[in-house]
Amino acid sequence: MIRLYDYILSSDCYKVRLLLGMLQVEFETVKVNFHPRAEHRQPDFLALNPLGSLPVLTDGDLVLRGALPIVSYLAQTHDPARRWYPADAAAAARVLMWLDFAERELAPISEARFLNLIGRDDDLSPLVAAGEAALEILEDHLAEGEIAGRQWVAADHATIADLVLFPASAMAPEGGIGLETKPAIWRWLDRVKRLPNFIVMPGVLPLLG
Amino acid sequence: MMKTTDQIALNDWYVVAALSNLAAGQTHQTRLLGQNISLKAGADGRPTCVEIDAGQPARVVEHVVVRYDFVWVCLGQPSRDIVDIPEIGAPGRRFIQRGRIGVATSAQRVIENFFDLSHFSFVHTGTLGGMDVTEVPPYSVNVRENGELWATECRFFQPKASAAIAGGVEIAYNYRVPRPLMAIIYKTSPSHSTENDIIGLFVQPRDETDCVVHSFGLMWDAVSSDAALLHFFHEVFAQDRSVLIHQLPKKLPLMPRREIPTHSDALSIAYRRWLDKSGLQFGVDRETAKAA
Repeated sequence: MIRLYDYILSSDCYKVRLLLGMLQVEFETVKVNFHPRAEHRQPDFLALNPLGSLPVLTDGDLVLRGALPIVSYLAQTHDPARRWYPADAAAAARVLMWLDFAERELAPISEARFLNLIGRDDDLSPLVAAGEAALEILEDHLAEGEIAGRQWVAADHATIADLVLFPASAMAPEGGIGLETKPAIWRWLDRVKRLPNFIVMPGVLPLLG
Repeated sequence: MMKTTDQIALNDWYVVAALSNLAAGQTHQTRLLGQNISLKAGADGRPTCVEIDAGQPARVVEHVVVRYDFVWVCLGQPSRDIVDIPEIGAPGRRFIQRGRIGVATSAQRVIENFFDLSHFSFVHTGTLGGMDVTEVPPYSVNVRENGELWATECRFFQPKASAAIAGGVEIAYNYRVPRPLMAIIYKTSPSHSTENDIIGLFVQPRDETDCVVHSFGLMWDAVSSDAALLHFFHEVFAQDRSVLIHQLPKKLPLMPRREIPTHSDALSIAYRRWLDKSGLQFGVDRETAKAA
């Protein structure tokens, strides 16, 4: 049985839950008291993942840490049609390019969101500026895609790139980054929410009707 | 923002940290009523607090007390004692520290949302409410002799009322609002139907439109792990938060007709009147409604 070490308010854990939901994969969760108890820094958890980070996914003896390796593994083992993570080299590289973008360039948004969430008083303006710049790039990419008739980030259908970019983009306002000037991102968020088996996390508003 | 001059606000007690989450020797910077403060837990576990302003020596805050595993601070002269919550420490229930959560709005908006029944079906769909039962039955509101605001005989049908229960059940609620920025819920315990589960919110107003929510649960639940209880709480509260950060105006309007209440808002109307009478200025908006 696949086991996900999970924290309900982690946007990285949500990336994994989202794909597990889309692929209709059965799994069990181990709920971690990430905040306030910091259980991910306790010896038991560090034995599993010395980085002390979430998510962690186990499948038998396999232990994977980090959202990207986990979604890559799940997409390759539970999607025989290889739509979520294309097998074609160029298509796979495009997906990887946007996975990398989500991991690096959108990280300041996730960090600002989480510091806001746990009520820290840090100066978040550098994170907000970096996050805004990254969302501009995503906005332009999506807007150009729409003009060319493309609805998705890395292929002519949804891939794991869309799912991994989704959480930080959708919850940018929680990090203090407004989406008012990002209409192409708005429309793309809406398309992701209409995908079959889409699930929300707290902070992501569901589509009504 | 500067430290407020609102004496009503300054002379009250506020939670600024959970003691068990304050590591000994480490300082914790935060803000209260517009004033930057720094907390430190000493080697003996006793916390100290100073006010910090750029270019000035730190000023020791005289009134710092630990109660119920929380650190309470009063920046003025306390006008009363810290609220008595006799259920904390009484046998039976499990005490859960729910961690600090920041919300970019006034503390009053958070309190009002906390005791609002009519949003359950729409914001907490599937747990505290469902789209098939959205009606809020009538309930009673009164101000008690000791000055506390209470709502009693509240009822609501909940598909999943707590981490301990799987099926839907009608839950009875009482709400206690002992101080303007503090509220306590007593709700039927799904696993112990003759008893109440209790959830308390202590809101730390950082600025007029920015706050930190400290909270606890006191639950009859022999089954769920601490982490399962916490995940349930955090799911519910993060849903509230995603709505609260978009509510305007951020300060709570007190004057009639600024926002249009319905019958189910009886407690909200009473809360706004009660706040108005208290004289509190911090975090409230006393602008009158514009003529149509």
